[in-house]
Amino acid sequence: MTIMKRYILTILIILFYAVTIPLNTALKSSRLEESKEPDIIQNMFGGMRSFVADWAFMKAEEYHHRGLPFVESLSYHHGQSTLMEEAHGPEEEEHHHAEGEVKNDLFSRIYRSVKVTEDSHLAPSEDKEVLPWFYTEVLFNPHDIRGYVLGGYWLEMMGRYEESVKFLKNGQKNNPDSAQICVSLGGSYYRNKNIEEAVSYLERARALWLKGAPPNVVSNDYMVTDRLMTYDLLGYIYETRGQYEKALEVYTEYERFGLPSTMDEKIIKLKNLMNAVK
Amino acid sequence: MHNILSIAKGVLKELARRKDLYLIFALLLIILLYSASLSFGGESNFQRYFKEIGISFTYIFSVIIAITFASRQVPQEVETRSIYHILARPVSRLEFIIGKFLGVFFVSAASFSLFYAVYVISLVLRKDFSTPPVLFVQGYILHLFLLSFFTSLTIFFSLFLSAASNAVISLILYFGTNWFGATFPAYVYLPHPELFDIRDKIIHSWDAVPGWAISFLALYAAIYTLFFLLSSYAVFRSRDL
Repeated sequence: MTIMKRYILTILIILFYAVTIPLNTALKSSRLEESKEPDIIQNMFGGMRSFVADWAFMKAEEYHHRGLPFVESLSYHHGQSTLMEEAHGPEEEEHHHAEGEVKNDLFSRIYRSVKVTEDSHLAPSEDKEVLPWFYTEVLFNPHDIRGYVLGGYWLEMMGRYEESVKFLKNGQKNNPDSAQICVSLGGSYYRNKNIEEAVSYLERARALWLKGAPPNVVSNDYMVTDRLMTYDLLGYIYETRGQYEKALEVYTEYERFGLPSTMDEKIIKLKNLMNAVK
Repeated sequence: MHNILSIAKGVLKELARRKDLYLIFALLLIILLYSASLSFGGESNFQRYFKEIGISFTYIFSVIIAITFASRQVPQEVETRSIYHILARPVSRLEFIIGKFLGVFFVSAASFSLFYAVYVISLVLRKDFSTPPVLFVQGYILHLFLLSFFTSLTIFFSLFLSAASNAVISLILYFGTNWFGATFPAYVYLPHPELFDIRDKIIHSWDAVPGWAISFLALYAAIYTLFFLLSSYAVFRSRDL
């Protein structure tokens, strides 16, 4: 009977922790911006690969913040991932404030002494330190589009253009229907003056956005930015090549998404230009 | 004192007899060599990544040694009935518990010292001097506190649990507190072994931990170790052997 009681106690303790750990991770993961796996059950039990990939992303964010844990860095940046922010536009300095007051109880003071609690970023010369985590992220979950987009951006930022394209193409191979990877490739080719390739990828991204099927269901600000960039850049390239009709078609098509259009001004300008040419 | 040391020596002899340490040490060397050779995106020589992998495995392996040794000490003596021979001599149950604790602590501390030395040497060989040396010393001391905490906790658990389930639960506690420490509900009322872990400061080359915090953590570890050992003694004394 005593042995039975011991076994029951053991099983209860194991169950308690077994449930606590994935639940805790799932709660943390749910704070990530990208909802690539909106189902929390799938996030918890859908496979360790996805769990490790999310962990690698958190490590990348942690390295970017010189050891500040991912969840704590969110409090400095209004719940935003700074890696994602940087890859989608310049970071706003006003975000660099922690939410809430600094506690001064003994536990908090000890905690601040032994853990990293300040928000600071890697020096530009140390940017490469983040790279291994993007590779780990996509190694464990080849369908983690965020890992490819961020890794590609980071490699390009470090001046490793060819590696960036190689990394993104590998991402496209594993996620042939990802508009975000296509935009990243298109942008990368454009910045490196390979306009034909850029147009090809941006057109592919445009078609995918228009279709709106998974994984291109726009569910966060970063995807909105990527979609806008697709149309904006593609239209601009057509404009600079003198293909005004095509550019107008691209700008007008963007209005279908029903957002407060940022294209209105471009459309008016382009129409005026077309009239002047005529 | 003589009795305590004799029991502790018995545990140390077990370390030499078993192959655990050699196997783990070889594994650590392989991991360090492998991670030193890694390259990503045409880049190599990642300082922080190497520091993280090295120190994480150094910590984890020494905790595994502490927990696996501590978890089997009492159950093994009971199973083989050798406990009757030990207690038949003029050895008190308190001496038995303290002897076992000291033995396991020395075993894990010696293993950790070896692993840590290899880790620090590997950083020197890579010409990575980015972390202030005082942080390495503090990381070493604080991890010894952690080993003392987990050794005493596992010995306490071993009075209720089988060696295997004890090892699993203790390891889950180690990883759980490390990963989620202050995010557990009612965390202020729970022990915080994660406070002994300053690996993020070491990896990212932050400033040293202030002396008052180290002193507080020494006291914290001593109180918990004493608490677990006295609790173990209280339970063991009431056992009808």
